[in-house]
Amino acid sequence: MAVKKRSSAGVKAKTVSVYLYADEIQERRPVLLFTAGQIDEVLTKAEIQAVPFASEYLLGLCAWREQVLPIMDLVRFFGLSSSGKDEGARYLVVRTVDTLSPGSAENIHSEKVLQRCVLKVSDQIINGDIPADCEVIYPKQAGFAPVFVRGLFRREKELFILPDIAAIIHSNSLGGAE
Amino acid sequence: MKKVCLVKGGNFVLGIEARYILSRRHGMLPHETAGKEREIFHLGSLLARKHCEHPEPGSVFLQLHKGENTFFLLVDQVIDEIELPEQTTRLPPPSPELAEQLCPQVAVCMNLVVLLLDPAQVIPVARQLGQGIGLLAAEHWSQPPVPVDSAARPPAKGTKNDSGAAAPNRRIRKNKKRPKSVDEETFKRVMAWTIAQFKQGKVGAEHLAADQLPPGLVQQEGVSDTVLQYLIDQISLRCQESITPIQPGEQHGG
Repeated sequence: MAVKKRSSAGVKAKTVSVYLYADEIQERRPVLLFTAGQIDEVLTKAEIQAVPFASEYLLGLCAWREQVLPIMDLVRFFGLSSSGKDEGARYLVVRTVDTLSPGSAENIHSEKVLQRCVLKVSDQIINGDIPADCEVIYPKQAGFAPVFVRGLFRREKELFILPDIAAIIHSNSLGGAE
Repeated sequence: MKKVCLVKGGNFVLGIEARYILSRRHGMLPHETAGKEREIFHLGSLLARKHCEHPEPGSVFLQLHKGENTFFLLVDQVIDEIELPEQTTRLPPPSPELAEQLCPQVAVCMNLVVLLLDPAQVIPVARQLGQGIGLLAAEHWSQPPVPVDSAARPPAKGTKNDSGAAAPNRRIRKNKKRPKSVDEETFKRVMAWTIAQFKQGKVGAEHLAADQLPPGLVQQEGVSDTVLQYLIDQISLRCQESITPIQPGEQHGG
């Protein structure tokens, strides 16, 4: 899967913008922002195995390099509306570092664990630097629960979301603001 | 490597280790088996958290055993038997707790994910869901009891003997001296003959009559043709139901 380069030649891309199949929020298109190192692979299709009793946003599980990964739809997780078709969907293999709290009194050091998941996204994936002309906004202003968002920025036509993947993976609730 | 049966239940495909499967059976359970079961579980309904309306045509009863539990689980389809590596992992987050309980282990085979059902957790999960979710209604698994009296055949409507389904059973209790019930051997033989006829496309009354039973097939003494005919009719009806999807609201005969 080719990823469009927006940064100028010789400058290493730092972020990847991933457009969601969701309706506009405050007249801006919702876009996920990741660091380039967070994305392991972009898949054009995934063999999804449904999980019983799962929330709607957990689409199922898939195998990736002999690992079992959850496939999530963040449009559903954040409770965004989506009236368009999701033809040409892509599956983004994303990594995150999760910090596990100590399990016992003897183990006082927290443990960092690499975790991966797959996100269902649109085929608009753009590799580039984070735009400079962005305004920082508070997640609740746009209807997001702060615990699942590391940052939220808006520009004239886009709303950039920095999702906290580790928090989303371990969530027992949905990511929309109450 | 471990042998695993891939089964379908509703929209889900799960693996069940072959060592936990005692038997498989298509169609209905025999009366003598069904009579011992208090509950039979339906995988598709359990996983979808709903009541079973009608089992899928071609569903398969699996008799599962693990720990102290032995029970029947009806699955829509047995898809395949595969071999999985011994190494499995736990169901990853954010899988829900009930899924982790029912399918604690997951494996990868040919780049496909297989959730492994823990048979010991079927009953506890169904109990947790409550309200009869995941249970199969008796009409979908129990063959009707074979009538044991020549008078047991349902009389035509409007006759003076039209006294309801309970009447045959009362007669049974009153007339204990006469050999009125078909024994297990007779039941099996008549069922085998009827199914064989059915498979040959002989479904009409002219083909499935008690007087056409081969000589010597019924060795039990004292069983009337009326009882045998009723038995044939019921088996024939089940055969027809097994190939014809039942419409919602339709009642089973017998």
